[in-house]
Amino acid sequence: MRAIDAYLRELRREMRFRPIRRRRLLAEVEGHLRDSAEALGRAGRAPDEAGREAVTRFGPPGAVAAEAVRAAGPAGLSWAAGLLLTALAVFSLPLYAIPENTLPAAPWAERPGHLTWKLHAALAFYGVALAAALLALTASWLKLSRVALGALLVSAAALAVSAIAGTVLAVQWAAAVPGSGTTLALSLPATAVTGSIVAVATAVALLYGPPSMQRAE
Amino acid sequence: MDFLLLAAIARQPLHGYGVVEAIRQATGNELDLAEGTVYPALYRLERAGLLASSWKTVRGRRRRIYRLTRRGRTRLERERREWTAFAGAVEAATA
Repeated sequence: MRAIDAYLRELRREMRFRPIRRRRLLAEVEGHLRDSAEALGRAGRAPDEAGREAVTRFGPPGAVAAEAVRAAGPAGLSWAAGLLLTALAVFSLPLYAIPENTLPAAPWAERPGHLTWKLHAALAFYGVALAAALLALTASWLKLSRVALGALLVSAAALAVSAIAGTVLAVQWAAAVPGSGTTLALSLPATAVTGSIVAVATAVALLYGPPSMQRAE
Repeated sequence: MDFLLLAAIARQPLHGYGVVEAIRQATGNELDLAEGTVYPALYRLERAGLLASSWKTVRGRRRRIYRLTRRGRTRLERERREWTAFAGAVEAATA
């Protein structure tokens, strides 16, 4: 059954950048090929010949992997929703935890308006992003792919706006309040990590979203 | 393809290889599916809520067994009606 083992290795290689459903597909294909080879063996084929024929009947691993990934939409959307929730958790550091614990006392009695509206915008868009990500996760579990994809894109966009407003706020706050350098130094990398996760989540959602919204090959 | 898969699984819950074999046997080897296309189709039908699946050990091997959902049964009945009407129309036109 060397042909089957080689086929499974090739299929695993084809799926290495497509982790969604990899384990399940590999387990199902292995069972299928071994059943098929056994049936061919009972029909009189030699074991090696039966293995080769089972593999040939199954089709090229590249095509099988591509089709399986395309069919894995909701799983991809669940992943993307999970990634966005991770991004939201990371972004709570520069948005709240880091400033709350490192900022020195502000020199003003009332916060300047140009900082206040950016703070409110960052918080409001964060709230929208959180609600949309939770909706996306629920919709992907309920197999409502289009709703999930729409909510994911709204969540990613809202979090991006929140991160931009938060970054501008952090820079302006550091300029206005002496001794805010540590907050800025900690906040910017955390915001950059958030942005990277948002980009990956958006790519996953678009690549593994509903089939009709994917590019034709 | 979807119609064939739903019809095979409607008779009894099956794993992927079982589906291919059931269709082959039911059609006297007339329909021999490209086997590698079956799994993506099963995933798509499951994603659409027409099939449900779970792992089960059969003859010492772990299998993903697919069964029809209520929504799948409704879709199968609709597909059957449409196919019967289509086949009847073609037969009438070519008789």
